[in-house]
Amino acid sequence: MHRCKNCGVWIAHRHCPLCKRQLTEENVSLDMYPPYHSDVKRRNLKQRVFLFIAIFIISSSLLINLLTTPDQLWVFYIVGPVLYALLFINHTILSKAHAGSKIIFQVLALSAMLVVIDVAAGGTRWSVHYVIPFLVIVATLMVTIIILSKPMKWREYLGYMMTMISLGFIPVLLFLSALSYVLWPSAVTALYALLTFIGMGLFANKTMKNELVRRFHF
Amino acid sequence: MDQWYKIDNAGKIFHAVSGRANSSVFRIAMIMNSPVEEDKLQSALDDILKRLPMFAVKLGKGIFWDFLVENDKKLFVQEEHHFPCAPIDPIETNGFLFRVLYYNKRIAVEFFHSVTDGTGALEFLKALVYYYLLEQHALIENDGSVLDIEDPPSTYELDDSYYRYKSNHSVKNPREGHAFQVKGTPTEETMVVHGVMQSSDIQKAAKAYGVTITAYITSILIAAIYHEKLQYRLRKEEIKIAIPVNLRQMFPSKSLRNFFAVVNVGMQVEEHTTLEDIMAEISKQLQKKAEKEALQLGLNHHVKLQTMLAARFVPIFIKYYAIRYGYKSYGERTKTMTLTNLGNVQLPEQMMPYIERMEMVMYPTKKSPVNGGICSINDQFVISFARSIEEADVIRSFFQELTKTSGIDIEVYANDEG
Repeated sequence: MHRCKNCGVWIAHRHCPLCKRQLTEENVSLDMYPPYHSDVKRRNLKQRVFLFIAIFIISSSLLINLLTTPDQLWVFYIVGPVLYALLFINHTILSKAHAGSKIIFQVLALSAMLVVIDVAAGGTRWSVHYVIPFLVIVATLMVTIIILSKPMKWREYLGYMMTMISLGFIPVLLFLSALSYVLWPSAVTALYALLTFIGMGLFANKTMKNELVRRFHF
Repeated sequence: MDQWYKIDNAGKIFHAVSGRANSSVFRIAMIMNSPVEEDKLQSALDDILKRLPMFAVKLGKGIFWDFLVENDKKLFVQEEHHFPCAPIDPIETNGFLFRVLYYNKRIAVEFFHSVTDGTGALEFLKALVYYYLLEQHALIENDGSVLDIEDPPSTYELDDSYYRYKSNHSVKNPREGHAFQVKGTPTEETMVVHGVMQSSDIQKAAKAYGVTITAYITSILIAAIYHEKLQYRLRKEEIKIAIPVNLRQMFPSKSLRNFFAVVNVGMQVEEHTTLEDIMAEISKQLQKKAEKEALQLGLNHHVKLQTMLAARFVPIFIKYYAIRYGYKSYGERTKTMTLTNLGNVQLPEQMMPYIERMEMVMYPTKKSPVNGGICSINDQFVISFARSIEEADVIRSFFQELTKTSGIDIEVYANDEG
């Protein structure tokens, strides 16, 4: 133990932690704290690398597009898939998020990408009419299968299930707002969501009620 | 398996404002007299979590408010390898909002502040260490100062005491002015400096000035900040220290959730101001602001903000945005630093030989990058400063001022090996 003349305190370290003056020649280790290392940084670095690659591809494509064929914006065919690939790698693969949230993000990202491609291809609305409704059905079915195969995880997935059910009614809303004019896929999705909701009500009445109460408490 | 809890009034704020630069995670630790045994600590943790279900929770996302829901997973004790008060990643902790860490002789609990406050965390740590010592076959007996895990959980422990004690007094909180803010070069990791001295020495030193220990330390801190930051400045901003007050002392409660208020004390220091002047002023303010009526008004104000019917139905992301704005503009700007004092910790006499001292580490924030925590046990009084900036000038100045004023021996150690 040495006294730091500058700070007036006793210290067992080699340097004073307050003024950084060296107090002793000896190598001392108090072992009060561990040496720090972080794996979060490594994961973040990977994610940043992929983000940079995505920005590089998009910006280069945009430049080439504007310099070569400015009247034909084919860059959107690249922007959508690249952004989707970025989410796929950074969220679905690299992040430790819950599987339920990964499924929901996939639905949203795929929908967004398809809408962008659809619009770029002339906007015939095939994405809104057919693909998005069935995407929602597939995702809801996936969550249902997970819940049925892992009854223990039932409560854990309930919130994601409810989100999926809510998403199930979006295609109908798109139809009502005239953004989509093919009714049957939207109606099928809404019916599927409604049936899932009724099924949950019948088979997990108490759990679902409890879940609704706590998620909507104010 | 369906138990859930509303987050208490203070807890809601921590949820809204926590982020990378503000973890809202505080640490209380006991330094034992022998290296910690992981398996025994794990057994003790498993036992007490059954008795304290309000801590065995994970975060649930709601539409209007988030909530805490029972977590049936296992919480593993971990050997410390990260800096103190790091943000809690629920994926890492199996969803739990706190960690139990050990390193060499230290047993530490780090709680996300929305779960509990210092008092609740201290009860948890006391019970954890008591049952850990029992696992080691220590001959100790509970004299009532530690929670008994044979008792069933009490509903009083789950109380949101803010609601229980809100009165109908109309509240009109005076707007507080901005205080001087410490600035520096941000660091990735939280640096901690602990100063250890004898409780009896510091008591004597405070008594010589006729003030409480909290007033004494706070005054020296204000003087240190002035000498280091404002002495040669034309604009003498007010230096204000935020001191959390345990409301259980005024409003009887057995709640293990948040139940505290924060009082800001401070003043504008001038060239001619003496340390005695600061002490007199701080003592006066502490007495006045910690009176029951003053705390009642603060408590009501706190509850009122969140129970306004119009505000209740606002979706949570908008609420959080508003709370964050209010916190940055009014909460954080009205203080220079937080100094929290857990006081002298009581444990069964037979436990004392096993414990060397305690540490209380208060997380730093962006606008308050240096914060202090105090606790004492076994005649060992420890002041810990956590900082998220490279500069240790204020902390150095504080210890210089303290040794000069009191003349007592202080041992200092840190987590960056000097």
